Amino acid sequence: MSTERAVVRALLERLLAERGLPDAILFGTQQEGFLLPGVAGGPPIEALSGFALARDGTVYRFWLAWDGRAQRHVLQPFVPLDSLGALAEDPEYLAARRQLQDHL
Amino acid sequence: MIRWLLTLLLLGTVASCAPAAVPAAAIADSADEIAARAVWAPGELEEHYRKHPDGYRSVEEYDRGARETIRVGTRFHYRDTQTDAPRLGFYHRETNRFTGLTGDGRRITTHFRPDRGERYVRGLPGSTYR
Repeated sequence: MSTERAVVRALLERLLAERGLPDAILFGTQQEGFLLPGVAGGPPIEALSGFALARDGTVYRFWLAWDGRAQRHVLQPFVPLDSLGALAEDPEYLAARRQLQDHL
Repeated sequence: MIRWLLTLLLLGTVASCAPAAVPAAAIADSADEIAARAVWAPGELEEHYRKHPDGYRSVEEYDRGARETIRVGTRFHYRDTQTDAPRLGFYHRETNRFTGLTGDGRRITTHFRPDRGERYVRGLPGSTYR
């Protein structure tokens, strides 16, 4: 696992835990081409969008972003989906569902 | 017996090193078909436009730009950084526009103008862009 990938993964896990979802499963993530400040003074990291599948089956869409006022990384927006729409048949969503079932 | 076990071991090693399979639909479908059929997940089109307006004047124009990039751009494959999921990409050098999709080409994952142009798409994990 590359250093940036590991750093971003740890950051996402921490931010999800802060929202009460420590064991949510990430899927459908996508690099977004612009840089955010690094973690703990490290090199900049790339913004990212994606989805998190919670234990109760709720899917949240999110962006990894930077809150300039609070000077910290945030998941903003972080929105539960009322309807899955195109995600319902998405192979990455279905794989995340299987992973969740294996963990339960 | 030993030969048989070695063969099994070799096959297992080759299989585990193989790149993630790219869904056949993404290979067979034309860019026009993908551009016409691909969808955004709920809320994603509006959010991506908000984050990457990139000179587009409306959500509708941004969506048209994403689809036009599929039609006229260079097709390539790459992988998602966090999950290693296969991704299908289209990059149009003349306008410096990039559209990313899921590996089966059915869902648009992003659209933007990379700051570093071609170097950005070439540097994506596992990028086949040349």
